[in-house]
Amino acid sequence: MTRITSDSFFKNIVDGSNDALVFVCPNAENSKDINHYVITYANKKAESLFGNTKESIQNKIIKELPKFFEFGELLNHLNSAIKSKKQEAFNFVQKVGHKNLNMHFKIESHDTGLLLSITEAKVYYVVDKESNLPEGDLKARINELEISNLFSYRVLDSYDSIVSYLKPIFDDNKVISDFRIDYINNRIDDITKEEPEYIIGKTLYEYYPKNLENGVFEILKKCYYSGDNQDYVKEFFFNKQPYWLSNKAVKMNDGIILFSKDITQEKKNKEQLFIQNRLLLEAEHVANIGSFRWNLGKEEIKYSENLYHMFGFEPKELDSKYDRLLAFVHPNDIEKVKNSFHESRISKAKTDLVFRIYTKSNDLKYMNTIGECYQKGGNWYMVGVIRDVTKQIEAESKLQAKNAELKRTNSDLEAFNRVASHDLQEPLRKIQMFVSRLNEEEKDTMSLRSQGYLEKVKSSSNRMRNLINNLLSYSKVDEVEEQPKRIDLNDVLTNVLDDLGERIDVMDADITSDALPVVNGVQFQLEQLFANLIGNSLKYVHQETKSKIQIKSKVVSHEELPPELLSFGGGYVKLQFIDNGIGFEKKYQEKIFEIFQRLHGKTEFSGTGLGLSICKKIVQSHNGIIQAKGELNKGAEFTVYLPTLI
Amino acid sequence: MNKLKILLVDDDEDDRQFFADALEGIALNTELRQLENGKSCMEYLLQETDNPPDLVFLDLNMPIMNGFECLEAIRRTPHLKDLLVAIYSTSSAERDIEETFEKGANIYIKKPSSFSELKKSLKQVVKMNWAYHLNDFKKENFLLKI
Repeated sequence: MTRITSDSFFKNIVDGSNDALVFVCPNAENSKDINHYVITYANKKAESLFGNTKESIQNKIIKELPKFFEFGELLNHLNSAIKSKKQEAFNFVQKVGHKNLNMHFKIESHDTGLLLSITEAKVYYVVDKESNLPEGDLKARINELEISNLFSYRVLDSYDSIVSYLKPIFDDNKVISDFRIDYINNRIDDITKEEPEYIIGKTLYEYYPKNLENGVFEILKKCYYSGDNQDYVKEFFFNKQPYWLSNKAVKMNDGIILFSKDITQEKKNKEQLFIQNRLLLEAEHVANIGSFRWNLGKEEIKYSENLYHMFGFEPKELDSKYDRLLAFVHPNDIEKVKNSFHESRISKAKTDLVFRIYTKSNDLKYMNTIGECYQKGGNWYMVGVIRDVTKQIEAESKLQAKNAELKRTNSDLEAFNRVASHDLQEPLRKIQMFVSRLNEEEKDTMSLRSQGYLEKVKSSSNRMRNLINNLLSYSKVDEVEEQPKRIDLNDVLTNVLDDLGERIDVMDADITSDALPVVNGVQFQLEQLFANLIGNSLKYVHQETKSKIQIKSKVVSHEELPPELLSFGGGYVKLQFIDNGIGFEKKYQEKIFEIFQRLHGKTEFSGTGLGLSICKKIVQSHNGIIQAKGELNKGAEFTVYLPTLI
Repeated sequence: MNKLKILLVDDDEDDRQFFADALEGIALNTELRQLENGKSCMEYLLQETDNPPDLVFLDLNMPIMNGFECLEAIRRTPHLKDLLVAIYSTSSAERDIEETFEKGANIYIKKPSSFSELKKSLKQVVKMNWAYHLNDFKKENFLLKI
């Protein structure tokens, strides 16, 4: 194993390091008598930290340093270290020039004196017990120290970077073919878990073959041949883990000193930050929002990239002064925006407002801004988002317009209902009244033809009354104020059959029914439903066949439900009204429920074309569905699904 | 026996004629006075304090003062608060029936669409046992069933 003992190697390390290194010697042998320390050596960093450019701080006493003021506390530590010969560590805030530096001092007992190292500022004080030595002797002593292995290793190992010394290997043509690692400090252990001894003596190729491919070899060669320092950042893999090392290569005599700092964590943080920023940017773009950060004490506002886009600009195209933002605000909204921000600037309250802007291309857009204030480092900031709500606002106003239209339509419908219920019925009632008086009082004096006309007037006005009544009940299905109750459908059927009794008797119709269930509903509506369905069956009959109506009832399983009911859950009861009447063509199965849809001419069968529409509406308002199935001249089948009682 | 004094308040001339003819047709001992709106009805009632009608038939939809307002005015007037008032209207809207019941009408007659039905209704109301009707007065009995 090769030890580096070269004077210049050590000097290179201490001068090339970011740390201040200083030798100090006490002025007395006996610790009681010590009252100052002489700096016998200082590296470049120490010179720049504590000295000035005019003269070196070497051979000065510490308290006379141009930039070193508070000596008292440091003196105590140095004295105590000299006394105890043990290691001491302490933090020390030192005013250096205009700056307060927090320095961590480490004082260590050394073979020939005391080694003091300060990690944070990396200032090393090497104290020699010997005092009052003539200058020449001191220098000799320092040289002795400098070449001491122990000392070099301590300095190098207390260094927080990996330090290695590489010596070139030349091939037969005197061209560098590889480098030999002549020295590496034990910081390498932090990364690779390898002792330096394992590495020292290996070539770059042997230790990390990739170095000859990844450009590192070229960089090192360049450093060697040119003598210029080389900085590079590279990713390395140790134990399959990626590490990012920031490297500085310094030519030294016939080799290269390499300082390698592990920046993996920083790199990771940076990447994380980059990814997060990227994500934020994309999220803002997708959500059509922008964000801003505003130091409330200043006029400058920091905008996110997408905020510029929302205003129609390229990022940074627009200078981000508060006043500049106001220039885009719609003139009628400027006061509102000013007041809101002004309020927040004073009270630090949350701001939330919608205002209009004109973008660069003069498009009017609605923006919603929400900002919150917070304090950091004595300053107040507002962070917030600005959201483009143009589409929402437009949709909202469209919705409002639609609502207003719907309201109008509804009141039109109400007016129509009023007209239908009163104003239409009024003249109709009078017509019927006059007809009935003619019928009662004048019929005998009328010609047969007149009597025929009178009959026509009578049946037409009856039809009209039916129509009006049906229309009214159709429009009223949704308006029922009655709360649904438990309704026994057997009672419903009985009532309906009672009402239709005369017609059933006359036609001698055969009506049979299963036992019916109890459902939740509105009695008179369910009666209307049954009356319409049974009434239809009684109406659309074959002249020659006896009318047969069959009512079936069954609680259906989930599998038997029509698809449109599957999503509702809960059980259903299936009611079927089956007749042997004239039926209808299959293509009318859907159409048959449409309002004013009549499959037959008025002369063949009476009807207003509203009966089944009313049925459908009633079933729907009972959360069920109704279906029709028909075959021409064979019969019709209406199926009603109603929710079972819970 | 004194004639039953009936006051009909209806703006529709045809309806008044039907009413008068029907009343005549059922040949009861009645005396009919006809007025055209609520305002003239109130004026008449406040003037004829000594000779009030026995029964008022009140249409609802009338100009100047409608039947609802007139009914309220009648019930507000102390000496008229027990006057028998029959609502006589084309409307069969639940809302109207409810409202006139709340406002203190005594019976609700939906104007029929045949003359014979009208005669039947009038006969029923004129010959009604009011003491009995009002003794157990419920909403179910308010709308006249023929």
